[in-house]
Amino acid sequence: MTRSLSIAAALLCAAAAVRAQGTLSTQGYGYPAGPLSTRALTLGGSIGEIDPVSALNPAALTTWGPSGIYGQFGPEFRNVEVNGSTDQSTVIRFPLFAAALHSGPDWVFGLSFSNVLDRTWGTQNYGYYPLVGGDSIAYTQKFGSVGSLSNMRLAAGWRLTNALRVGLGAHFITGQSSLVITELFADTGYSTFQQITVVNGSGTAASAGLEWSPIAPLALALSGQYGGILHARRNDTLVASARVPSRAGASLVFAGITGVTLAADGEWTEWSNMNGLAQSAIKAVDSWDYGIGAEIRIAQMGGADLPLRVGLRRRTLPFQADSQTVTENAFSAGVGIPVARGRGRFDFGLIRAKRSAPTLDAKESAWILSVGVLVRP
Amino acid sequence: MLKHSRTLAALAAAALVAGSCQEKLNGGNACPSLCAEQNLGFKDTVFLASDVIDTIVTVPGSPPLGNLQTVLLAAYTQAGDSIVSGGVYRFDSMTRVEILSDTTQPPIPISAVDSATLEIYYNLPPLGQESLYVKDSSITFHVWDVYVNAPDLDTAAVHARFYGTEVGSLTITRDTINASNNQTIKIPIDTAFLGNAVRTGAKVWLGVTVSSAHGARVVVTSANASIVRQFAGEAPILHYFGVADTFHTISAVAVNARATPYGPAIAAMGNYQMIFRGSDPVPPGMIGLGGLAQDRMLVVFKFPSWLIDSSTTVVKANLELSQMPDPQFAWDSTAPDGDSIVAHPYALVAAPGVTDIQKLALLVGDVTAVPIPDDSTLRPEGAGTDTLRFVYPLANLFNSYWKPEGSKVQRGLVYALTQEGIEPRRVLFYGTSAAPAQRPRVHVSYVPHSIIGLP
Repeated sequence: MTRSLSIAAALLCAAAAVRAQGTLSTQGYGYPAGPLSTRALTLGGSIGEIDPVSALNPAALTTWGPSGIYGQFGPEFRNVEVNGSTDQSTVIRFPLFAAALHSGPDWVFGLSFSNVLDRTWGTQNYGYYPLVGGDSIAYTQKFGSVGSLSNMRLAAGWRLTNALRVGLGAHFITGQSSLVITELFADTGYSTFQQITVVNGSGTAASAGLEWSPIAPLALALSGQYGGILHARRNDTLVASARVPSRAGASLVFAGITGVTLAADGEWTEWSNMNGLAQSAIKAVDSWDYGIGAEIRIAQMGGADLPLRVGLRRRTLPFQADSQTVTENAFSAGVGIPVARGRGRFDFGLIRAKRSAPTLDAKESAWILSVGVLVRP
Repeated sequence: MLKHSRTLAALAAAALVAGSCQEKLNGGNACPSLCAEQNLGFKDTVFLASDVIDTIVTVPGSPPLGNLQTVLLAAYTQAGDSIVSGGVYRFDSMTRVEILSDTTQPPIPISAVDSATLEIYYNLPPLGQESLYVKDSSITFHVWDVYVNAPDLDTAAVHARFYGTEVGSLTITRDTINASNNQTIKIPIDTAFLGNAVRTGAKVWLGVTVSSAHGARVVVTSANASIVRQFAGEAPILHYFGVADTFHTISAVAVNARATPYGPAIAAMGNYQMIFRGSDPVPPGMIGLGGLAQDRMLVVFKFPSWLIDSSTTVVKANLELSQMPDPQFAWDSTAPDGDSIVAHPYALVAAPGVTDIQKLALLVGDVTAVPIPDDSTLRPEGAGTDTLRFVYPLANLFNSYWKPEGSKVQRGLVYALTQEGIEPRRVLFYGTSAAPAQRPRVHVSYVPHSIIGLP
């Protein structure tokens, strides 16, 4: 069962990569690509806690509206500069899939699959090994990782009053990491080295959240997740255990100006919980994530608003590169296009992300296109 | 409504899954600063024999009596050294009565034998070497009565019967045995001798030798090949007509009784090779491979567990042996075959409890995806270090046999000449008691497995 979930989650949320290189963003167990919706991403993550589609705050489900499903596509076009040389890569991601079902006027139940960490990358090294007797042999090493850790959330949101909503979520963390290492030798007399290591991860977490609107134009949303045990297994053998990262976050939204919504958020994630898995020098560090954003109504289409969104986001990534914490700054802009008289919505966002580490001579920049499709049948 | 929702969900999921295969990544070189731990620790190490070799010995006379697939009939000289060998063909079970179709009547004993022939099958010499195999225009095959009432393995008693009572002979031209049409030699056998044996119930053991003015060697098949081959007609047979009475004559075929389709073969009852003049004994402290009688070389390793388990991959492994020149039967252009002799490494498939080196030398097989290639660089008269490879890209014993089999088998190799039992030359290697620089070594290149974050 665990393996089936792992594979399903990998299919939904994993990216794929071949013949790439070391990057700042894919250190350690990978890049955290979820769980924000396109709308939330475009707003710099600022409305993450209050966005019903983003898989953060279960209380936010109460504002989902009619039952529906949501899928998100997020290709990243990455550029890495190290010591004057530049590498490009493209990664395809499907970081979020969500669905919600109304049950009566006050209850909404949601199911979502979101990416926790995307561990997909590839590198290639060349060199020479010295041999006994003074000779040497040329080699090519290829390292490739495919896999991800995903978060399946079952959540319920309950509207206590118009001003106060609460929610609870149960999280099943599952995923698979497949590491393939190949070493080829220039001398055909040597066998090719190949190592394939497949590790399955599984864990649990619980989350709770609330949304409070003390006065009409203002809303505050808070949520937290407590991470349970995270197991790493090879076949059926338990090889390491750690904890699922815990997190806490808050969003503040102001809608006091007609046609404009302003938001800001802050989030802390205890990625260091994962250090128990490490069998090597990988080090996870707790991260902070801040964002601000504005959503401005620029037109109406079919009776629904057509908003323009902009946002800024700054966060630290969970895994250090060469003992340096990696920071990501992102500017984003996008629109939401209502369709089918409000029964569906296309969200488009374009994000420019820049990543760097304090003293490391490496810079990474990326264009991330995010496309979300919401359908309310 | 619910059906509608399911359809949409399925379509969305299908679109997501289908799209997840798209990618485009261009290679680059941001490593090593961003490629933490992405370096494999290649190791190139020479192990001394005392570190990784448990046993390395000559297995004399291996494979033992009744196991060689061929028999060498030889009488020639190479570099001043003589090679004389013959074959022993045992027919322990003969047709001695005629059983009538009317089974109410008793069988009629055969009273006389007519038209008896020993039919043996020869291997064609390599193309262009016909005159090196048989140096004269003709060759004579001699058949001797070598039966003796002695235990099966008492070859000395049989040896003494050679060149005693000749019961058949055949002289043919060289071209005859080079013909590829039937590869059969039919040597007439004395019917009085055979008739007597049939009547008295005696076993018939025939010894075969060859003679030619300037030397000859003929490689003939034996009954020790597989049963399929035996019944395909390649095993030697004794063919005769048995006369029971005036009205009853039967055509009888005696085959070797070593193997039947119904049970395990009895090697001691097989055809075997009798060496009259062959290789000198292996000098003390040396390890021999090849020669007549044939020797195999057994190597049992005691590799450390970390070299065998899943934490390491061996990418190359060589057995390095110091060779001592062996001038006996030194090759020149008048000698058959090439200047090198070819050895084939077999993996030991014996369980750990087997300690008898003669048994170990037989418990072997080609266990990898493709057989480990032959080593064709051995020059018996040469000196220096010979490198015998036993790990190849498609024949990696470590990966495909020793790791999966674990402790169920002994980790070892048995080297045998591809011309085993035919080739008189032999290579001599220094053993573990030699001077340190001459002792066997094992040169291994391996790559420890890498851990990148996850165990």
